[in-house]
Amino acid sequence: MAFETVASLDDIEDEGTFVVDGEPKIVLFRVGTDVFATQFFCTHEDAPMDDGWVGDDCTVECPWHASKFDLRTGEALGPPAFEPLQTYPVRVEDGAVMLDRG
Amino acid sequence: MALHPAPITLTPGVRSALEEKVASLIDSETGTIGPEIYADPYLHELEQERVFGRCWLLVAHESLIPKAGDFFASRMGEDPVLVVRQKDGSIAVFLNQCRHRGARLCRADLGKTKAFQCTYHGWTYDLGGNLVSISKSDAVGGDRIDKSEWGAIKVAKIHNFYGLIFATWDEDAPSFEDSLGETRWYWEAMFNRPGGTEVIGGVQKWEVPANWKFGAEQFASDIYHFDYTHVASALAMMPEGMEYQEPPPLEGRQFRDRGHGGVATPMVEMSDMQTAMAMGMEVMRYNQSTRDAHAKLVGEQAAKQTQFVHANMFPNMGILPLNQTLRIWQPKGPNAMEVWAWTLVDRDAPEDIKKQCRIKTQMTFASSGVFEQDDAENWTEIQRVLRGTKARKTLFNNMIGANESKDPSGKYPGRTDRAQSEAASREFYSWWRDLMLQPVQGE
Repeated sequence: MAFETVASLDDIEDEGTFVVDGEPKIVLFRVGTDVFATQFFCTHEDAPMDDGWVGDDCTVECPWHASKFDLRTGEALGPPAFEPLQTYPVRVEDGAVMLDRG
Repeated sequence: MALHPAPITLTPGVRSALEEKVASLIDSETGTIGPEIYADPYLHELEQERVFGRCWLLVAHESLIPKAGDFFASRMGEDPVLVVRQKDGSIAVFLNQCRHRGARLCRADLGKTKAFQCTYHGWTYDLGGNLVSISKSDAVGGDRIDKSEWGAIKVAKIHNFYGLIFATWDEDAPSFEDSLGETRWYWEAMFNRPGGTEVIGGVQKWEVPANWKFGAEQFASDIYHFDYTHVASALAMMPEGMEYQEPPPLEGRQFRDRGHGGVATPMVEMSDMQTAMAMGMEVMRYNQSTRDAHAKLVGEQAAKQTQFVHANMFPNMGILPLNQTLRIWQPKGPNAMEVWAWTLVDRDAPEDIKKQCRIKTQMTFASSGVFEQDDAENWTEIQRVLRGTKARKTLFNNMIGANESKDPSGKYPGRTDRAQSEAASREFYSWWRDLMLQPVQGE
């Protein structure tokens, strides 16, 4: 477990996304004051998930084929994707967004 | 869904026979029109290639697509296109057709998206029309296909003219400004408004069973019909207590060049009264209040001395500045058009003024507008008569006008005739004929 600060909460619009470059490349999703993190590419095809539609029910819809995922668990909620997105632990402390890439 | 007749594929032999026909149908010197140009399916097909395949065409107003991912499904002639705001703020226009089996990439009229996924097999294109995903790529061997070669077909050029988005398929097309020729002063005056313009209330679309050129030609060249076609509507629209009087002789000039045409009249007390009748007192006062700012952009003569009445930008963009309707005459086979109409307003106008404009435009020139219905009735009437073979061989007289080329007062630039003329109609058809006689790339 190694949390590192990767963004400030103000960097991310509500229901917006933020890309954390590096290995692995990761997308942050903001819903209200919560922030979630998943792998960069959709599990169905190689769609960039930072371009997805973020829902206030803590979901994201793939920009290309509209597969829907639960941001909390990564679970695929709707086809054509069936594999879950890899998720990563995130903490928000004093406006700083901290990510553990594992 | 009703389908209009199957399109015809032209061959070089048919094209050259059609060229001879076109040359014989339009005589702009004496001013005659062979009405087969309104009804012949072969000429319609050549027109798609050589007029709509070449000219700058209005495809959208930028206010329809303010943010990244916003799109408007438009047309260029009979071809469906998507007009899309990109992430960098620019605008892309491309054929709304999947490269796999040819369905539309997008079936919505307008909206916001991240990408366009064809509903048939799921091929997906980005906001610029580039193919980004062949669905089930691993399973179907999609990786053998070079996606960069199979993007949606892009237009050759795009131009933003004070918020109006134009596109052309022709790489060799002149610049948009050059394409306006000697009419540029008039279009600048109409569209270069303080604070810019926007379209409000959504697009209204309705089909008229008549060839698109009837709308285009009338907006370019015909104030002549008003006192007859619209007399009942004008009487009905008279404010209470006002008497309908014989209209005074129309002052001003009819401008024309490169197929474009329209009428500009002197801004006199009567002009404000006409605005008040058409759009209401509040809109009239608002218009007066913008003239100083407008003059800084386009000069005193254009902003304070001139009332723009009607115009058509070749081939198929019509505007009635007084009634604030902007429209496209979309061809739909030779025997029908679809009118796409918007209410055009100043972006910075107060909300209640915009609302007044919207209501008044609906009453006059819109799908249920009283004047609009008068016009559609005439065009439909002619198209119906043209079912007759004798009727289609009978030349139309297009000789009205004084045939002047310069405004004696020097106030109105470019080639102009007196306001009630068919010089702009002759110009419209002569330009149309010239384009119809010149091959385009890729025939």
